[in-house]
Amino acid sequence: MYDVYKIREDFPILKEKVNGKPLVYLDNSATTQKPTTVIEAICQYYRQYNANIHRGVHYLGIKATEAYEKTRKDVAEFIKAPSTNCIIFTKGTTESINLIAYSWGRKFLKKGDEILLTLMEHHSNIVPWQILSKEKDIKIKFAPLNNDGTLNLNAFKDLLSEKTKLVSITYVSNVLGVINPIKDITELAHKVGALVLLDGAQGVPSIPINVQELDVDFLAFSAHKMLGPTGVGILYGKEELLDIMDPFLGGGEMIKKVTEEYSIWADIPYKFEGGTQNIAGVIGFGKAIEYLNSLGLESIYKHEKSLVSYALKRLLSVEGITIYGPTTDNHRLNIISFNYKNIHPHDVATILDQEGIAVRAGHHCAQPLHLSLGISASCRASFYLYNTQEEVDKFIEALKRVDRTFKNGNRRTL
Amino acid sequence: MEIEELYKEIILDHYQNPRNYGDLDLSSTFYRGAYPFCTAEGENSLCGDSIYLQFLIEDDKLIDIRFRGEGCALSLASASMMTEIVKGKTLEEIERLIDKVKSVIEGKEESLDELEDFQALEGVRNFPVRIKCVLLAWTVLEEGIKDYKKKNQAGGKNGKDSK
Repeated sequence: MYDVYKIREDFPILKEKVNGKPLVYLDNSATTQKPTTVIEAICQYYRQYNANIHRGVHYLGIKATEAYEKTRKDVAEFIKAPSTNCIIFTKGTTESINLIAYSWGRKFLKKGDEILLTLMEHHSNIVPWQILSKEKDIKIKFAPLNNDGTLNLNAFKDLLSEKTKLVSITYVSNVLGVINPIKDITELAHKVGALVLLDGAQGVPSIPINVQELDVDFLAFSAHKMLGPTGVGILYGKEELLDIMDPFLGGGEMIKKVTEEYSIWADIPYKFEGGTQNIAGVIGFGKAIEYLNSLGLESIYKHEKSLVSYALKRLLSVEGITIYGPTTDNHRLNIISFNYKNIHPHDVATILDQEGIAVRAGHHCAQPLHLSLGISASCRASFYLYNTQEEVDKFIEALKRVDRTFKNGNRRTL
Repeated sequence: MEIEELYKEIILDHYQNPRNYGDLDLSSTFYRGAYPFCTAEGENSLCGDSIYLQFLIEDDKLIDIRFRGEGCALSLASASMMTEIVKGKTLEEIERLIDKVKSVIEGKEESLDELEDFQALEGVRNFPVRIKCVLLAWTVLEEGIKDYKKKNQAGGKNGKDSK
């Protein structure tokens, strides 16, 4: 039995008040809140066994290394990776994607090659490729969307060709909430010999994933969007690919041997973990995975789906709401972006904030998508495992307050 | 602080009925080629708000101005008020006002009483993340004037001949 009120007890921040009102946190796509176990694991590391990893032969060093490596094992199991060698710790999804652009793209792409993205990508899955394209003279293509915000699979197929070397695509749109059909996409991409990089920043926190079944070549995601601390990201890669890639950051920890003339790289995953890692963060992330496993991703997914269904229904009954993305809970996850009358998203968000409700306003690091929607900004409410129907109700009520503040007045059309 | 203290009547009025909105009418004989026609634009990259200004300068005086833009109530109301405030003033006076507005909005100085309507926007001091919205139009104008001065100095004479 999924008891959301009992779950909320595990998150100290949810007892906070904002502007004198109970916090209603609906900005989970930006970052999620942390349960006590995660917060305490980080403190415990610093209080009881702070030491650098993989070096010390002393007690603390061994203990820290064990805790750090345990998270690697937990992550591998969480995404059903075949081996811990496939799991690299980075500082976030952004770094994971940049690592692929740098270590794989720079080595294997050549003039005339193409990378296929979609119009719903986050800037962190656009900009690294633009940087690379300038350097290597490669082409970036964007697959368009259908009117309901889902990926236009036919257009996607048409853009795929022998020239396509990489398809880099988000699991779930951080604006539209759309879930992409990744299994179909990897099949199509592999047919033309392209690799697939899955941006799992949104998606992995809520949908049970099996990287071997999806057959993606790379997967990038962030700890902080799934109860873990900021500053920890994961890159999963197929072993044979990681093996032939060059290192990303040169330094300590990523080498077997260094002479004045040359160095020999360490084996994976250490080849990609130069410098002292975010040890406390990784250890904290282990506890986040433990927490997610204790609830079960299936149950989390179901809870979110019912919340989104409810929120969509309520939002659609508010006059003057425009929702971007599918308006049913099919193929969509915990994110709803919208605009309210002609009121600018920043004004909406400021007024909601006065009611204790945290939503995001802006372009959500997806400007090309907003441009294609013909808007410059939107409001975004995103839900996670601790949100309740009552919070959705408060959010809808607060929208009336927005309207009142603006004296029910629309901006004159200019 | 109550939200109505931020979204005061006068602000909503400027937002809903912006003054000096649109383009300067350059086809009229009055303006045709007569004065340097300046434009300036700027964006708040955090939120995508944008402001586009057109203005005319004669003898170091800003004699007319229009704005267009997209953004929240605060940024557009601020732009609308600004156009009313600066029209007819000398560049020197405008630059002084820009500094004053910045320092008051950023909380360094007390009051904007010389600016009448614009005082309503002082409330933004309690909403630090929105300060950029209010200052956008002012920083765009500041850049625009700087630009004008640079070109004007390079071109030698001020005013009519520099076109």
